[in-house]
Order: sequence, then structure tokens, then C-alpha cells
Amino acid sequence: MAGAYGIHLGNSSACLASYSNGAASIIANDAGDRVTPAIVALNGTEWEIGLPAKSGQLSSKSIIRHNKRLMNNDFNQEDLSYVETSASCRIQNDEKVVYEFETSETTLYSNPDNIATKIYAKLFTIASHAMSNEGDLKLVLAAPLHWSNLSRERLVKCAELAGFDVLQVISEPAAALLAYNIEETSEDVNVLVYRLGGSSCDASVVKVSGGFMTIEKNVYRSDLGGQCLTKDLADFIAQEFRQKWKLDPQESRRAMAKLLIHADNCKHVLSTLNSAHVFIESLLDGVDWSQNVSRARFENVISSKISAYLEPAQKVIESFGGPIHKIVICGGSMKIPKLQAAISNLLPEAEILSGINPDEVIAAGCSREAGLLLDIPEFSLKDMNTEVEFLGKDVYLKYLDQTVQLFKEGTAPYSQHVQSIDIGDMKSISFTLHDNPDSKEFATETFNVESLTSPFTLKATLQESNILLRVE
Amino acid sequence: MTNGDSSAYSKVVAIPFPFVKRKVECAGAAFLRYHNIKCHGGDALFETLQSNEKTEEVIFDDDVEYLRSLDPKDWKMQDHYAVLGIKNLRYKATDDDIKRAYRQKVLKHHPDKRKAQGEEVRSDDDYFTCITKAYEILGTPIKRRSYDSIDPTVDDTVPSQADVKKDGFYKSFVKHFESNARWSEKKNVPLLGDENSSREQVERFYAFWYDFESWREFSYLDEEEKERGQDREERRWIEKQNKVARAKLKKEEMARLRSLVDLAYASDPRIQRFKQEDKDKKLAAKRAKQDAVQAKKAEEERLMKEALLAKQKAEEAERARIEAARAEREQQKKNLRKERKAFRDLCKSNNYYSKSDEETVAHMAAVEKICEMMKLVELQECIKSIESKGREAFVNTVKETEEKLEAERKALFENRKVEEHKAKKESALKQPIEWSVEMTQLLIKAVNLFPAGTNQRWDVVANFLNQHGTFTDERRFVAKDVLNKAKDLQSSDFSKSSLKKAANEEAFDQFEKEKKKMHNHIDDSGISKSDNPSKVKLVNGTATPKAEEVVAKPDDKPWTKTEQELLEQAIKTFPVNTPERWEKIADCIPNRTKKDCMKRYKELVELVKAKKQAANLSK
Repeated sequence: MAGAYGIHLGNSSACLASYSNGAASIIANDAGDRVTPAIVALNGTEWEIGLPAKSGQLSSKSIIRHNKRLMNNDFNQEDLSYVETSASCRIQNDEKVVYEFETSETTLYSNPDNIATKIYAKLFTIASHAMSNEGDLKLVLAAPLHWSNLSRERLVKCAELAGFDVLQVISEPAAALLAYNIEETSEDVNVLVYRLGGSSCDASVVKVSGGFMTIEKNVYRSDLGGQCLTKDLADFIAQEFRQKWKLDPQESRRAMAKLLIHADNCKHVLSTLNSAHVFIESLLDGVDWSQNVSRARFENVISSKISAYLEPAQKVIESFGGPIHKIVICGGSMKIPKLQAAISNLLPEAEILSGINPDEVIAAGCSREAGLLLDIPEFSLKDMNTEVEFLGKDVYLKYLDQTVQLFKEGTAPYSQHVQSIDIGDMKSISFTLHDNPDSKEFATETFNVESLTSPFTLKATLQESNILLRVE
Repeated sequence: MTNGDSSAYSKVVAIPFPFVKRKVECAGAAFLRYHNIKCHGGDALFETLQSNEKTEEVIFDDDVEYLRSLDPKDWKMQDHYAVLGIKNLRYKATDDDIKRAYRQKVLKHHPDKRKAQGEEVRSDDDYFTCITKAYEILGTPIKRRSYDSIDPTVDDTVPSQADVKKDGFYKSFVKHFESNARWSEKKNVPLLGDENSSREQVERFYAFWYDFESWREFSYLDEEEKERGQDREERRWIEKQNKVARAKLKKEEMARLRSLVDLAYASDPRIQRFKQEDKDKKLAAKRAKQDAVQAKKAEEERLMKEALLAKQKAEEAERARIEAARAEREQQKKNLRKERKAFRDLCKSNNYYSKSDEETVAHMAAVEKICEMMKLVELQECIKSIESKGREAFVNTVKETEEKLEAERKALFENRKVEEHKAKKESALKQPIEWSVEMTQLLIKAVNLFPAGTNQRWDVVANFLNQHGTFTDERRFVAKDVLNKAKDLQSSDFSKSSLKKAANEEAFDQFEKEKKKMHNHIDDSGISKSDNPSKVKLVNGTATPKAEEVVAKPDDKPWTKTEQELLEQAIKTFPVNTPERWEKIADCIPNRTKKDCMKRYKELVELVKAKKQAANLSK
């Protein structure tokens, strides 16, 4: 039995979800965390992935963060410098991007694909440990909207090298919608998907109609992210420390790195609890630091940034123009209650969906897609989106003195409408089709129903350019 | 569903207005359904509809009699579905159905409940255990699979040929394929279809079934349970036994499925039709090909025939042309002969336009000459002019002919003369240059100047000779001549060559002179030696070499200057590695033996050494 899995590999973290019995569940890693940091470090000759890499030696010369930015085939100089500053190894960018690691004996080289494969391999071990029975691990991946086909293929190659059987790559907003089953609602809705991750931000409006999703508008920002908030919090703590001890931790790189880790922890805690305790041993010159940070204090610290964070969402809503019915929030930083509140204030009428942890939404959606795909034999689709022809007008059916709406405008091909008809002892029946209840018919069909027992059923199937009527 | 006679019940209506295109994300159940139908055709539409159909409310039957009859010890043999009251659902029951059925049974049949109702309950082997066991099996997916695999109600038979004949292909196979479809690992098993199924569908069907992946396994039938083993060893043994038994059953199962599909494939009327179609198509293609080949062949033959015909025509034309030419030539000859005859007759009749008998004879000869010389047209003209003008014209013609003949003879003579001249010149050029004495000396000089190993030595030597020698004509030396001469000089017996003779004579004169001189001035003998000893003398300023010379005299004739020169020359000419060097050197110098030469050489070497030493000392 094959298992259906979904992975969202982000710039700063990765999440793995599995789909079984109609529900997606997040698989926790070996440390018990539901989200694994997408950080890879080389410690001596050993590769460390995830938590050990994140909390490893601060002075290490070989830590890579934000590898995903370089997985995009057409990354820009900004992305490169961003990764360069956050990673602590040298990066060469001649023809291809190459990471250069200096170990005690030799210099090792690696590339973004290798690093991504390592992260996937880590997730693969987590998934195979969690799986109860043997079988293939069918996987659906999520990729940002602006990525090209080639970049997505790279992603697939990496995941397949790690051992997964990749079924499809879907876009991140689509995955977010799938996680909440929004596309199954019968009426048409417009959904704002707002993703705020560790270092990037996406806001898109998705139109859902008849089960089909269409991305209407999208804004991508690579400069906004939760890391700025962490930095603010760290600066705040540093300031407190300076006031008390007249020592400036910002002067020491090491102290600042330590501070950032603790600020990050504190931020996470404050998303769920009202106050967090920060205790840093030997922050600077052997002086320890202990402080309680309340959520209110934290919100005060970040309040100046909030309007900046809302800007992409506002932009997207303005350019879309139409009403928005639902909001899906995803990305680790959207766990912060203040930000959630700010987004919901932006659109008071819209329903904000936050039932699933924001940083797990996309992975959950991917796993659901994988679960759906398991039912479909030999599926192969490379694109993230495609064009489908929808019905241009309503279609009404009239028979005897009854009028039924057969298909609504915008119905997708291959939809079916089943109508039960009771005409008593009549031997034949004629149907007329109209595009408007009052207008003239555009087609008339007469069926001889002598041999059928009444009441019989009429099945209407919308096909590529016609309607198939069938009585049974 | 898509029966052939259903066309009366289904109609296709075209939609008169356009469709709207929209870009959609490739995700979600609706899209996947759309994509699946689009890629796999219409039959998927009905299949998915079937599976989407809502099952009616499940009725859990409660057969108390049956439950009471169960023996908890023999739980493996019980029908778990019957126990839970979902006999009619069996493998189609969802997990939810099973759970609900179990709950209902628990509510009704739990011992506590029955006790409350006043029923008698045996505490040790109550049938309630069977219910919990049934749920234990059906509630766990893996165990349920193993039970489903050996569900006693499953029809594992394969229809026989007779059945197929009796019931027809579709009727006999549909239910078999449907019942076996449940073992598929993949969902959406393609259906058998009917007479009107498209070829693609049929092919997909058989591809699927030949590639069938079954999840059926036979662990439920294990003879012994692994857990019952006393120790690890025994458990391992049981495990091994079970594995073998399962593998065997699985193999049988696969063979059964295979035989089913094989039989279906063999007796499928559609496959036979397709095969026939293929065959027909192939045959048609083959025939078309053959026709094409034949047409091509015919065309080629036609072309060849035409070519042959054309060739024949051409040949005939050629032959005719040659014939015509020959005829013309013949005609011309005939004409010529006729004209000549006419001319002769004319001349004869006019008595050769002669005035005297002698003239007659001369004219007769002239007439013959004219006949030979003149061509047809000239002859005709001549005849005309002679006829009109008579003698005068004849004489003129004779004169002209004479002149012509003369001119021809002259030209011939001239030609021969020129040719003779040319031949003479060439033969003269071909003759090798004689080697004069100066030339030979020059050659020796050149050979010494350009020692062996010089690049293109003999060309250089030849050039040297050509530049420095004096020549009477334009003949010059080439490398080959020079090389031949040089070889000649080297190998030839020196006593025979003129140079040697001369040298000998001169040497003898010298010797005579020397002899005279020696008696007078012994000291001078030293000077007459080579340059080297004289120089030595000058440097040392002693008389020792002289004494030496004198001492050496009894058995040695003194070396004259010419002899000395010859020796030096010879030593240079014959390098150290020359075979029989000293013999050759001795040959070069008259009146000196090999021994003499060697001795002299040694002396000279010593002298040179001494001189060098002295020079060093003086420094």
C-alpha cells in the first residue's frame, strides 16, 4: 500500500504531512517537532540537517540557510547575496552556484540541489519511520507561483533522489486551499491566501468556482519575513541588556547570534503563550541575562512593522477589486496573533481560516492532493496550471410544462445532471434546451420512451462542445 | 451501459454559444476528475460516477441463531462479516460500516446486557468473543486484507471454453473480471466493456490485466501461528514454513488470474476482430506495396524498351551516315577517276597541247603529275580552263604543279635539316663533360671544403665546380656527375690516374733534388718536412728533431714536402673509421709503404704534442 505524502520545503523550514483516511496529518520529526528547519550544516565530515544544524556551533563555517532561494533557476543577485549573508560558507557563482566548505583537512564543494536532496532525504527518513507498512512514498510538492517549470523539475529531481515517488508539483496557494477543502464548496468564492514565511511573503487571490481554482492576482516579496521580527526582538533585548550592564551585545557577533536564537525561541513561545522567559547564559563577558517578555511587549516591539507586512495583502486586494470571502493564512510567521488579527481587520467580512497551523497548511494541502492522486491511474502533468473551457452561458431544460436549470454558467466539461422524470403513460417526450428561461430554444430532442418504465431518469452530460442527453 | 441499441435513448446536442477559457490550477478533486476523463476517455466518466454513487443506508442484520451456533475456539473458521451482520456488504463495507456494525452488536450481545435481560451466559465460551474477534480482524486494515483475501464467498473459478460458448463472451467474463477487480492495488480498474468498446479501451483493459498487481495474500491460512513457537528457533521455522505456503498459494493465484486473462484474450471477439483488421490492413498495405512495385517495374521496363529503341535508331542512323559518307567518298573517287580520265582524254585528244614530241613526253608525265596532285574540284576547274583556253592554260597548270611539287620538296628538306640539327645538339648535350685535371683538382678541393655530412653535399659540390670552373659550352655539372667522379676517384687505382702519375714524376724529381741537397745541407731536410715540424723547431730552437731525423734515416727515407702534403691530404680524405685506412693512405703516396706512413704519422703526432706542451710551458 502506497502512502500519500505532501512536503512544503520553504526557505527556512520544511514540513511533512501524510494523508490517510480522508484526513491530512503532520508527521513530527525525530525531535518531536512538526516543522523541521531547512538548515544544513557540515560538521567535520558529517552532515547535519534540521535542528542539530540550527543549534550547532555558532562559529561553524559551514551552515547553509535559505537554500530554496537558489533552487529557483532564475534567482537574482539579491537572492544570492541574501543567501550569502545568512549562510556561513563561501558561495561561488561562476556558471553554477557552488557552496564551498572548509573542513579541517580539505575543501568540500556542494550545490543547492545537493543541499535540497539532503533535506528531502531527512524528511524521507522521517516519513519512512512513521509509515506502518511498506510501499512507495507518493509525494506531492509545492512550489512558489513565480517559479519556472525548470526550477520545479529540479525540485522533483531532488525529491526523487531522496527516495520519494513524486506525483505532481502544485502551486503553494492551491495547496493552501486544498488543505481547507475550500475548492469543494458549491458556490463560487474568492479566497485571499496570505503566506508570511521566515524570509519571504506571498499574497494571492484565488477564485474558486465549481471545484476549479484560478489564481487571479499574486504579489511576491522577498524582503519581508519573520526574521525581521526576530531581529527586532533581539535588538530590544540587547537594548535592555545594555541599559542594565552597560555592555553592548551588538558589538559581538557571537553574542548577537546567541541572542537571535533565543529571540527566535521567545517569538515562538509568544505565539501560543502570553509571556515568555528569556534566559541567556553568558551572553557577553560571562554575564547572564534573564528577562520576561510578555506578548504585549513583543507586539509593541513589532507594531511599527505590521503595516509593512499588510502592504502586499492590501495591494493584492486592491488590484483584484472583487469581494473576498475567505482568508487562508499560512507560513510560520502567521502564527503571531497580532498579525492574524491585523489581516482579519483588513477584511472584516471575510472568514479567516486558521484551523490548521499556518506553517503546516501547505504541506497538508499537498498531502491531500497526493491522496486524491492515488486514485488516478497513470497521471502525468508537468504544468502547475492549464486552460480549461467552461460553459459560457446557463443552459435550461424545458419539458412538458417544467423548467429546470441544467447547467450553470461556468460549468466545467464532463459535469452531469440527473433528472428524474415522470410522464405517466405517454409514449414519447420532447425536451427543449434554452440559454435563458424566457428565450427561444436552441435545440429540441424527442425521445421514444415506450419501452422504459416510468418514472425514468434523464442524464445530461456536458461535453467539450455539446450536451449528451440520455434517458434510462 | 453503452449498449448498441441505446442510440435511441441518447442524443447529442451542440451548444451554439462559445465556451469561456480560464486558467486553472492543476489541483483538487474536480480538476483531477476532469483531467482523468479528458485523458482516458468517456468510460472513466461512468466508472467514477458509479463509485461516487451513494450507498444506501446499511442495514445490519442480526441473526441470533447463527451467533449462538458459533464456537469461540474455532474463530478462524467463522465468517467475520456474517458475525457482524454485514454479510451482504462484505469487502465493500467501509471502515465506518464495520465500526458501526460492531457497536450495534456490542450493544445487543454484550454479556452484561444479556445478563440484565435475564439470559443465561456461559462465562468461558460465550459467542461474544466471536464478535470481538471478528472486529479485531475486520477493524485492522492489514488483518482485514488477509481475511478478504480468502473470503469463502469469493468465486475463484475461471470460466471454461464451454461456458464461453454457451453464454457468450461478455456474459461469461464480465462477472469474473468484476469479482477479480477487487484485488487490484490500483483503483479505477478498467471494465471489460462491450462490442462497441473502442480499440484503445480494449487494449488498455488487457494491458491492465496482464500487468495486474494483486494485493491478495494468504497469511490467514497459515497452518501454525508464529507466536505459538516455543523459542526463537521454532518461531523462525514456523515463519519459514508459512512463507513457503503463502508463496505457493500466491503463485497459484497469479496463475489463475493469468489463465483467466489468457482465456479472455483468446476468446475475445473484439481482439479477433482487431487482429483480422490488422491482418487485412497489412495485407492491403502489402498488396499496395506490391502493386506499387509492379507499377514501378512496368514503368522501368517501358523506359528500358524506349531507351533500347532509341539506341537502335541512333545506331541505324549512324550506320546510314557512315554508309552515306562511304558512298560519297566512293562517288568522289569515282568522280575523281572520271575527271582524271576526262582530263587525260582531253589532253590526249589535244595531243597534250604539245608542239614537239619531246614536249609531248614531258607533258604526258606532267599530266600524270597533275592527276595525282589535283583534287576533284581543282581538276574540274582545270579541265574547264583548259577546254576554254587550250594550251596556254595547260602549260600554266603544268607550271603551277611543278612549282607546288618543288615547294613541297623544299619544305620537306628543310624540315629534315632542322631535325638533324636538333638531334645533333641534343646528343652533344647528352654527352658527359670530360674531367680535365683542373676540374678534378677543383673537385678534390670542393670535396674537402664540403666534408661528408654537409647538407645536400653533392649539389653544393656541383655548384662549386660550376661557379669556379671554366667551361667551353653551356654544359654544367650536376650532383650525379660529381658524385660519380668522386667515387671513381676514391676507388680507382691511383697509380693509373694521370694525377698520380704526375705526382709520382714530380715526387721522383723532388727526391733526386732532395738527395743532392741532403748531402750538402742536412739541416734543410728538416725544413722540407711539413709545416708542423718546422714550427716546432722554431719554438724550441733545438736540434733534437734534426737528430731524430738523422737517426730515423737508416731505415727511413726522408719525407719530402710533396709527400708530406700528400700524406696530410690522404689522412684527411680517409677518416679514422675507414676500413683499411692505412693501406689506402699508403696507396695515395708513391714510394711509401703502409708502415712508413703509420710511423710518420706517429712521429707527427708526437711532434704536435710536444709543441703543445712547450707552448703551455712557455705560457
